[in-house]
Amino acid sequence: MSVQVPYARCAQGPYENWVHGLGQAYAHPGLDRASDVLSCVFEADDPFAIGDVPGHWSTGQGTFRTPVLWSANGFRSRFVPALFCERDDAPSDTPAQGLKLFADAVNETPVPTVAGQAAGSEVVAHVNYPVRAPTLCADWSDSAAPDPAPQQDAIVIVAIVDDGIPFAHRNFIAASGRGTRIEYCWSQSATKAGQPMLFGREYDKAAIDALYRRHGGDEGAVYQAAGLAGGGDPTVRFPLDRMFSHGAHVLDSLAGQTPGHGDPRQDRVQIIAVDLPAMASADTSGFGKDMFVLSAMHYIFDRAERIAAAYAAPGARVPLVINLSYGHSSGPHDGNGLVEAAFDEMIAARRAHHPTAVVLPSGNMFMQSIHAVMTEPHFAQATGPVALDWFLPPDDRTSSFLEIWFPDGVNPDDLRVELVPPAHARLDQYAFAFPAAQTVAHAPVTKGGAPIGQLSTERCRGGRWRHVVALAPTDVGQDQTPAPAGRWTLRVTKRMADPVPGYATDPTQQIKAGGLQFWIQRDEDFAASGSGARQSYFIDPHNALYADDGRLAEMDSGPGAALVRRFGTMSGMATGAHVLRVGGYDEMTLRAARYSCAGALRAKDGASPEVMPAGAQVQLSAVSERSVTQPGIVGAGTRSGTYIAQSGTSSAAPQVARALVDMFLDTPSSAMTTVADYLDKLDVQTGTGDPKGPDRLGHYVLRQPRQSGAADEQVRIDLMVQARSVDPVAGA
Amino acid sequence: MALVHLAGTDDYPPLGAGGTLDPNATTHMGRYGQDVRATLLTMEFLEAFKAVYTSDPDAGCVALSWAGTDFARFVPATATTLSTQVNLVRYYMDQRGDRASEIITQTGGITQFFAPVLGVPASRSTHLIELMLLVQHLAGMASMPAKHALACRRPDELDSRLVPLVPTPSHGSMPSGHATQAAAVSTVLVALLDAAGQGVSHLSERRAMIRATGHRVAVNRTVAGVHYPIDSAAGFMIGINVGRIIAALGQNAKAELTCFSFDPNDAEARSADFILRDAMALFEPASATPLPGVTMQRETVGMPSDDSKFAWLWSRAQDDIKHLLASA
Repeated sequence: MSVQVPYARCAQGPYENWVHGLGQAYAHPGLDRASDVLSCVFEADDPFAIGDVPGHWSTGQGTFRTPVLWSANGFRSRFVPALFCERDDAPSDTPAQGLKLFADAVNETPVPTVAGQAAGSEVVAHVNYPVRAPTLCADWSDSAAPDPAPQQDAIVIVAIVDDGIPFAHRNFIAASGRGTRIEYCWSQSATKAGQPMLFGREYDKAAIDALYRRHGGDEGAVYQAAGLAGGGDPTVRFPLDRMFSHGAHVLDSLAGQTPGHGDPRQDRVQIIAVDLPAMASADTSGFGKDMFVLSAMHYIFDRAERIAAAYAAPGARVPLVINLSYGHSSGPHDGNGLVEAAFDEMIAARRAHHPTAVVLPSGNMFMQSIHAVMTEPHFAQATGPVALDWFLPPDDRTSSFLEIWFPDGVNPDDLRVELVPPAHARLDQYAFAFPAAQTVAHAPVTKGGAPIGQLSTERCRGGRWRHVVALAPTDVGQDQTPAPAGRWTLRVTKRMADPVPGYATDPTQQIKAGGLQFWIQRDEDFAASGSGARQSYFIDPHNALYADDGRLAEMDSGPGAALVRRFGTMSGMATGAHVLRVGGYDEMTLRAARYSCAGALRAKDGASPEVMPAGAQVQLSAVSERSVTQPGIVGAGTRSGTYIAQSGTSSAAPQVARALVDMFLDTPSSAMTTVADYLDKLDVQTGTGDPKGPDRLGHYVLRQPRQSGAADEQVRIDLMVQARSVDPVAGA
Repeated sequence: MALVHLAGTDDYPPLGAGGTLDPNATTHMGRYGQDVRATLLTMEFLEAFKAVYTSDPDAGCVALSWAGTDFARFVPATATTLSTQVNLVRYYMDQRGDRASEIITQTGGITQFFAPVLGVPASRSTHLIELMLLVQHLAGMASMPAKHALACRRPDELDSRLVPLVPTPSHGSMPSGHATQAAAVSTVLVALLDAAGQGVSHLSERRAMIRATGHRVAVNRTVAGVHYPIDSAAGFMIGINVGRIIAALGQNAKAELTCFSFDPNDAEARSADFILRDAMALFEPASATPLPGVTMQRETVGMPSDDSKFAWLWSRAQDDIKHLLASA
């Protein structure tokens, strides 16, 4: 008797449906329409052995291919990143055709192909942004593992996921002078030189040193040889073409040294870098880079195995500290987002054998009115629906996204949400309703019959419901209809008899999310990418913008009336159970930097003035501003010898990662299994910081800015002074 | 007087050939200072220009015409329309941080924002700059009777929160003088480039940038809090035609005008923003209704004279962009 083989299906989530479907006519920064290689993440209900996932599998529409996957110690996960390469003769002139091919191919993929024989498992595919065609190498094979080193040592591995990684920079050269300390760099958008990967190229230590020698130390020529600079394609942004990049600054804070003045201990630190495509930071939807980030993590974990095998004593614990200075403001904020859940699985699995830390910034949107919560008192006080105004700025050339998350056990029929366009906007309806509760459904917001937005209802991983609103840009090109700028209103009618669940501590000490929660997705023109993005925000008359002393208010207004919340803006990506969350502070005032995001502080029992931390909180802080008049901290530019001051919690996170690395150099082989273990270790080294609570610095404050970097700073200044001083006698 | 004796004491004979200046000759423009040329060219432009307000309690209308042909007709905005438009002005306040330096500079003129797109050094391109200044002068004048006729309250009269970034001028809001000037300058510069032909480097890119600059100048006044988006739209409708008239005078050619009729109280128009796409739809209308509330009709207008004094300045301005020709 034959058993019906189940097939995978497409998740058809709100973002992919807007970007690749209803809203496809609009500009989406970072989206390469010319490419027909879509990236995706497969997800199963139950974990499956990653080692059993095939390198590729074919369907009638094309072939799925997987990048380097970490499978040590029988690692099991629910998530696997992949690319879809459609067959050569496929009719994919339009995004809709490309997406149809993808969906058909997913539907032709038997569940066991991806998830093994895990019985009853359902597999869904989340489609992301395409991979730029020239970076693809379908018939790649992985590079060879290095031979064991003659001398084993107690090593620490530090890794970075960022964009604009200057792998030829002199600040990463070994103090011993033996070439770069970067053991592996996977540049996901590189097209030349190095080892071809499924997409992008890998430059290992030997390749980097060889490139550097071949080009006589001309770093620009090195990056040009890698296809990472020097133009050629005006539609692609190359961060390494610029004097400064996010990745250069972060990597310098994380692992940089001044040449000739390095700490020889740092030579025991092996660096793994993953350079994301520049589009990953331009994307304002937050979903486009999932595959790139997840495959980056697999790569880092895999290469860490190789490094351990080659350099560490057999059986030794090999610490791995990863810094990922990215974030977004969407997601459930309970650790159940796709990226958060996938990270947690990987970290937990590696921690069973080796110390593993992943450090993330808390985010920079504290003051931007992008988060709001409706609780039972709001509904109890209101005579009709509770309304929240959402301001869509004019001159915004990118889509704006908003997520609404329901508490556990409450569904979209219990709290019915409507979107009311601005007065006089003359849309096709006075108010637009969300689709009724089903697994996933989308409905257009229309003007003159044209879709200018999309309302979605979806039941997510973990069982919670969410709505997602996508609205078109307010500034558009020919033949497109803009979304009207102005004040949109979210109107919520309570239909359930019971009170809306508030934040509550259940017997297992788990704090459960409460209230109806709103987050606006980050929508900024990052690194002057020219996307024309502008941030939308909430308008709430009960939210006091200024404190009594005239300063911008950094505390939330009373929870009974105000809807907008600063606390709770924590980057969604940083809300996993096993990651470290880092805030930024001002070195002069020892106060949190104004923008530094924090976890939620919620009223106990709704309206009571007593607040308690709820959910993922900032655990520790590092300097991200030198003073009010000297913004940012100093770090490297893309070329040796250039420095720039960069603000933001992105600059704080790598200092914490570096402090962890230094701690591991001092006390190698510690058994570290919980986040608390890492915090305690850091505490020993740096001293306990300011108190918990509303100053939002977390449990610990990294007192010494930039650790070894601080000494480097003085050396740099001395060198600069020396170089510019002309001895009047000698010069004569 | 101490040196006059060196020239002798005899009477001089008359000057030889050409001793008598030709009367009424365009060539004399070169003898004059800029101020004299500006006066003469202003007079020439205004001789054919008319602004007439037709009173009607339901559909009063101001019509601007040149050489007897209407090129813009506007209905006054109602209080209802302005109450919607003033919200758009407030929405743009967020951008003051981005644009403050531009906005403040542009209170004193807009020439220097176009010059870089053409690579125009002031020391070498005196006639082109003179033409751009003259275009702004004429466009500003053309907008003023329309402002008077339409009698439109400024945004800060309707919303105390706007606190404009620059002093609100005393004249009416619609149409925007800055938008009129910016559209006229854009039109003239594009006409100069087009007349120079395909040899101009990056012709289509420069054309796009010149027009986008014109749009940005107009929007900056909304960001500043002194103009509604409908003011920019109306200003563009005048400015584009003023620019075409000047280009036609400069080339002694017939003027290809687009007569715009604009009712800002149209249900769609009164809530409309004025984004770059909309500006482009006025520069190069693809339909008879390029924007909500706007109808368009093409008119070809013969010139009052076949020897315009504008031609003198035009041909020299043309010389000033020769450096952009690949053959130069």
